[in-house]
Amino acid sequence: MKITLDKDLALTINNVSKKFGLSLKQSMKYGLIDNAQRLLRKAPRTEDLRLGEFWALRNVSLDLKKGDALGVMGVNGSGKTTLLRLMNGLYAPDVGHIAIKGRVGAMIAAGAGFAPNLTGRENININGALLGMSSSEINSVMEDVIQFAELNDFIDMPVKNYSSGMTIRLGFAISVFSNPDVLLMDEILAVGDMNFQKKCFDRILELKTKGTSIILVSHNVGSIWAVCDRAIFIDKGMVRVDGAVEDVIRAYDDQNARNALVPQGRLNSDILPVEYGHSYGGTGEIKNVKVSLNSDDEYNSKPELQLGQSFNIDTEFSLLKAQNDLILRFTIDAAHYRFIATIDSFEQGLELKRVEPGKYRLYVKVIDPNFRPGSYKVNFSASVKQSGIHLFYWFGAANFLIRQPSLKFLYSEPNAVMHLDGECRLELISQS
Amino acid sequence: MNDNNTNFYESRGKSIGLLEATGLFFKEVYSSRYVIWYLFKRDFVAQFRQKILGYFWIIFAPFMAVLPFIFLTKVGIFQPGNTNMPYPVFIVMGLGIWGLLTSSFSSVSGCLQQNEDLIKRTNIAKISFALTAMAAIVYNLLVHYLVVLVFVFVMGETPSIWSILYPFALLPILLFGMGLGLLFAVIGTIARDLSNIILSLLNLLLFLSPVVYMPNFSHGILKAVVFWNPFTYLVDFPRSMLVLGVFKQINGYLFATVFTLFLMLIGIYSFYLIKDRVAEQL
Repeated sequence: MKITLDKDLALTINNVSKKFGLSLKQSMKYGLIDNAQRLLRKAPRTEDLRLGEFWALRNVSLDLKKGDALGVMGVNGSGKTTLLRLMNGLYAPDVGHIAIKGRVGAMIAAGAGFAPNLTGRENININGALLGMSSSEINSVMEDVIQFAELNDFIDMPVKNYSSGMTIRLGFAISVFSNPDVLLMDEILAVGDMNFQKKCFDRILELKTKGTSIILVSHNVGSIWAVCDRAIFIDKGMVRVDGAVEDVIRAYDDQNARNALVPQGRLNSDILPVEYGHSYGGTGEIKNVKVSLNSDDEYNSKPELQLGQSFNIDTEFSLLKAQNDLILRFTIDAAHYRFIATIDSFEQGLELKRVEPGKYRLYVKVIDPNFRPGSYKVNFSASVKQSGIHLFYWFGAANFLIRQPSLKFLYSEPNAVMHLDGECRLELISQS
Repeated sequence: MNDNNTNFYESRGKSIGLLEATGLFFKEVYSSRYVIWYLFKRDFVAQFRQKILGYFWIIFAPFMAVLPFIFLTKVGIFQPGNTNMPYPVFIVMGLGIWGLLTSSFSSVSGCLQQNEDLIKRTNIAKISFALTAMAAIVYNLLVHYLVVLVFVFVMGETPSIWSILYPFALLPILLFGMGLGLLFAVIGTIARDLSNIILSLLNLLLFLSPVVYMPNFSHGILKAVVFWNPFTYLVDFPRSMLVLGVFKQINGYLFATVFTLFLMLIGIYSFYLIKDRVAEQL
């Protein structure tokens, strides 16, 4: 098949899919069958899934121009590393084709082949050769690599005596001085101290201005922002978003929050632990609890809300014994913080002086909440005013997601959970 | 690869013929020469650093291997037959040559598994790993050559003038190991015990080859096996040439060499037909 790559393009990926076996046994079986077919010069059919296989990547197509930088984002297991390995020629596609122009420098190869008993200088030679450099090319950048890796006094020491940071710095330095036409990077910019990281960014951007095309796989929003002109968001092996970096980061953040959600549902267990320390428990006087969450405008199985959107918590339960001064309470947990908010029947003016046995449904409307984008869990408990004992408690009874509303939220502190509305003003006190 | 500068990866891969595979082999060997050299250097130096005997291991190890056989012969338990040369010379050379065969097979067949990390992280030509392994074997061959020359003198024999051709006469047996190794290198990444099975079978052949004794069987089938066994010639020819100065069974040696070249081509061809999926199989 004759392929010509447009002169402006550094990379083209055309409808590429890649599959793997779920179990080692099946991978071995299929591997032997496929190789036997290839040895008989009969190309095996790779377009269809066989029993026990799954698509790690599906129908991926993209182009990258010379000198452009593409960010690749996705949650763990989404297919990012598989894509990078396909681009580097380590894996062969099962469907489609990839064409990549020029010398490919792969940061996944940073430090590859390092021999611990050999010195830093000897390892520069080895790693440089593995990256496709000739002896003279390696010699010409040797001092630059040593300077960049900040290993002047230690370069003739065996690598096994290096700290992990020194080893990574050396590997990184060789990769960026191999002068690649296309640089493939996998989560590598978090190397060394802040000064070294700054130097890495500067070098990457310098390569970019010199015409090196960059593909950066990262979970780090800041890295993608700093380096990339465009990005893709991969989920379950498919490219879901291909476009502006901001759109991709938003999709990535939403997916991360979505993955943090636990399934909401009904608690049917007849036996409740009668002590604390479990995810649910109680005295046994309340059973068959079901908690669901929905917004005003739609009822869906995906509790995804816009910033500030009101929502309803809909709870069903069976009360087995009459109760006086019953309090039904919800608390909210953020991803990293517990009990960031609460709402209960008593506080909201619903006084339950006497509740007879029966099956009940409780409606709670949460109005104009100020939760920031992210995922949240809803906990439910029932107690009576006179004693602190819980008739029933259930942590993580439901959950919801607040979606990224606009670009301005992408720049903010990621750990914050509550949004404050206010007014900001900057005044000049004196000119310096 | 569609032009000098563009790497092209497709789903089914290009189906290549024997000639194309052989051409690709030589092209990749040339383009990977720096990698082969540096990987060889890395493994070689790393192997001997931090060892008390260092490089002397190369000389020391083969002598340790033959001591039991010499002992068994001296006490009369083992009868090696008519070897036409001092038995210690016969067995030192025989086991040394056999060691070159088995080490070239096991190094090449296991080269992809040995370099799993590099294969998963770099896109260097897979054949480089086989060549790096063979570079170490060639070095062992040269050491074996020197050791044998010294040992023959020590045993009161004078090496013949033809001993200068001895390293070249051993190349076919090295290529036999390499060709067989290439056949099983890729498959061995899936079924990892396959190389061990082949190595065990190869070691059975040791007793049907003139390595530790002269296999002069009267039994019809065993006699035929020894006759058709290429190692009968690939082991005995170089040894007799060096010690006795005779080209023993030269026709058998030449046929065995042609068979070896054929095996080598088949090894290269099969390696290139299936090498593209190695990283995902490891």
